[in-house]
Amino acid sequence: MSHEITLAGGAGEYMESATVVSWAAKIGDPVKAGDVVVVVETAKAATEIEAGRDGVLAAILAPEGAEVGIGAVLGRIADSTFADEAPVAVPQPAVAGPEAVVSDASAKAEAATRRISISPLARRLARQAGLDISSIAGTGPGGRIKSRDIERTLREQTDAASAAAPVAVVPSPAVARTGSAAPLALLHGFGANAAAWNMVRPHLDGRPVLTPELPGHGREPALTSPSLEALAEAVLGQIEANGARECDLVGHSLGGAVAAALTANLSVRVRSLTLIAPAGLGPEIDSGFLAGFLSARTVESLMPWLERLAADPGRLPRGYAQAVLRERERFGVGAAQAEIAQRLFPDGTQAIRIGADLDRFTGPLKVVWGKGDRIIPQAHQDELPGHAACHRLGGVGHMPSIEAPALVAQLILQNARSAEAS
Amino acid sequence: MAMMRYAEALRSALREEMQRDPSVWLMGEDIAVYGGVFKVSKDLMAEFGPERVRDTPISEQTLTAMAVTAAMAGTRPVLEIMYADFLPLSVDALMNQASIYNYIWNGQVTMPFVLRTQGGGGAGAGAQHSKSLDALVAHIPGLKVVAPATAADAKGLLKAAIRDDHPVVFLEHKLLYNTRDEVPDGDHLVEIGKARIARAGSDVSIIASSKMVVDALKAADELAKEGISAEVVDLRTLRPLDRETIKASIARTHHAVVVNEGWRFCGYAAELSATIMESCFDDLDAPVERVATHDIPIPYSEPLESAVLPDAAKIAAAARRALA
Repeated sequence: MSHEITLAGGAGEYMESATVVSWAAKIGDPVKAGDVVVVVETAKAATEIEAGRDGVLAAILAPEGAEVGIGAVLGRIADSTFADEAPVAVPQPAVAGPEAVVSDASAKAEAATRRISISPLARRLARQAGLDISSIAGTGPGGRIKSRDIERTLREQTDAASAAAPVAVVPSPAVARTGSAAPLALLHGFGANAAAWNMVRPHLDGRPVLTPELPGHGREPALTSPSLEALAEAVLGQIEANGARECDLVGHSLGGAVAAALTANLSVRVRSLTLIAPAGLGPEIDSGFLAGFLSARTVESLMPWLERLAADPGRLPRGYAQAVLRERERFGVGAAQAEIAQRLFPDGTQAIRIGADLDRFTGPLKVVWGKGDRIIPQAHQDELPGHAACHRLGGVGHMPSIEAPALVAQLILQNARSAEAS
Repeated sequence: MAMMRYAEALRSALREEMQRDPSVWLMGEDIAVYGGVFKVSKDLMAEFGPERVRDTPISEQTLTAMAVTAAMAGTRPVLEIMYADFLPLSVDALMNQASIYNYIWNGQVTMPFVLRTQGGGGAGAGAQHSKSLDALVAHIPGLKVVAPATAADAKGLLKAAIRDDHPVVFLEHKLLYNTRDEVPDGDHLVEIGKARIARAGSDVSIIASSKMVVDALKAADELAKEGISAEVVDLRTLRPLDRETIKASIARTHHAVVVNEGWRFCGYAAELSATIMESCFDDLDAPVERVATHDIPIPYSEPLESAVLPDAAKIAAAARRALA
């Protein structure tokens, strides 16, 4: 049995590393518990490290002048009897290459003890999103990772994902954990794709999530005749393909109108319906946005239109415009989207209506609208049937799923739960 | 609704409860003939007579014990202790009598007594007349402790306190007496133990009570100019603490600033901070920021006094730190 000499034998607190100043004993010297065996120096002060037990100094692993990390083994004390085996058991470090030994020990020690500073909320969000926190740069005091850093990372992933649009039906990392609960089906809006929900998903308590895509968006092929019903049918096909027989349905903007149209289908039961700034409730829509969005070919010409989406454009993902343009280039969705706009929003007018579908829908119905929505007027809420619950979000524009993701998730879950209860 | 000063709201609560219930009576130093140092009980002796509105000698320890026994005997005394700084004289009766009799006698006695007092600094009243001793009374199991910030709450909570069968310590603030706001008409009651959202916000929760709510609201105005949306939670009751309202607020904002005008060390803000850590840990995106009075006697000098007391600027700075 040998006893390791470590920094823990010193009285001081070592923040990062220490330098070995001098050994007070030579290999083979007898030492007594409490004897000073080695002196180390930290940024603050020199500290004497005492022998933890009686014995002989059997090995010096960190020679004088070596810098060692927290937890590094500086040397070993062995029983006197053990000294008999010393020639084979204990290599002379000076010969064996002390630098290698020391740096390896120090690296291991650092890896083992480096603590990532992260707020509890950020840790929870990262866990739910399946993010590795060791690769995230914190922007809080002292480099602490805050929730905004998780959100930024997810936004960056959203950007990256836009290029390689995710497959239409993506089980959340938590599907396996939560078993067979009805999935949440999240349907993005015009010009977006499944990645639009990336910021909401970490807040969904591990519920299984499907993110179907509209035809002519993401990787979904375009339809030759993209009526609202045809869009709904295509989306239904994606949900069915996943094996779901029922779902809690969520739709944003055009996706909201498609979701409302979907409630009439016979094969997948829609338990609850949550609409975020849905299309289809009134004739007005920002025609300038539609035209500008569709005709923009550069970041400079697209960005001013995208900025209309959020009450505070600073909350939009960085690189959003680049991602939109990249998707058009790779998957050629531009023409398909122009066709959808021409069909559903001719002459800058919403030519689709979801009122009758909503009247017929008997499950829990929630509608979320940003008070600062500049794309679809929030006054369209007045057209909702009496059984709809309306949530109006201050300081939020047309993109509540990006501008207030946690709250949106909370409302989605509330609505889904009330479907379970009923 | 009527615009009313905080002091008037308290007086109207006392008057209404004395009219409603003949067992309610008042005592304290200079409260009857003089109407109270802060004029809360002005004119009440004329209306209800010297039997029900009694001047007493300067002897807080005796007065508190008298109120306790009068409550046990079935009346509903409302005792005014002129300055919260004198509460230590009352603490024996609060801690060893009022707060425990209901427990040790298995509910055979009730203790319907209210101790009104006022504390707080900012008036240049010096080390013996400026303290906030919230923590001293809120520490005692068996007491209820309320600390209204508005005239409406002052009235509603005082009426609720007088009707309560348990001892209630009612903490007022000398700088609030002249503040005005709308007080609902009629028999306005505010439930003890329920906080309110004084201002809704989404970025940071500022949790405060009494005059600190006023400062927190000013801080929220400042922060709004910088694009920071601060929610102000007015606790209204310090004990029992409305944890649910605090939890719900932090679940929305993920950042907390706790404010109390008492001393920082072992103060009421420390209790808030610990409560948040225990019940909201996974919702926190930053350490709880604490704003409280420096751990020294309150200085008489005005610049020094304002240096040690919490104010809107210090609260706003704490909110910025939380959001850094």
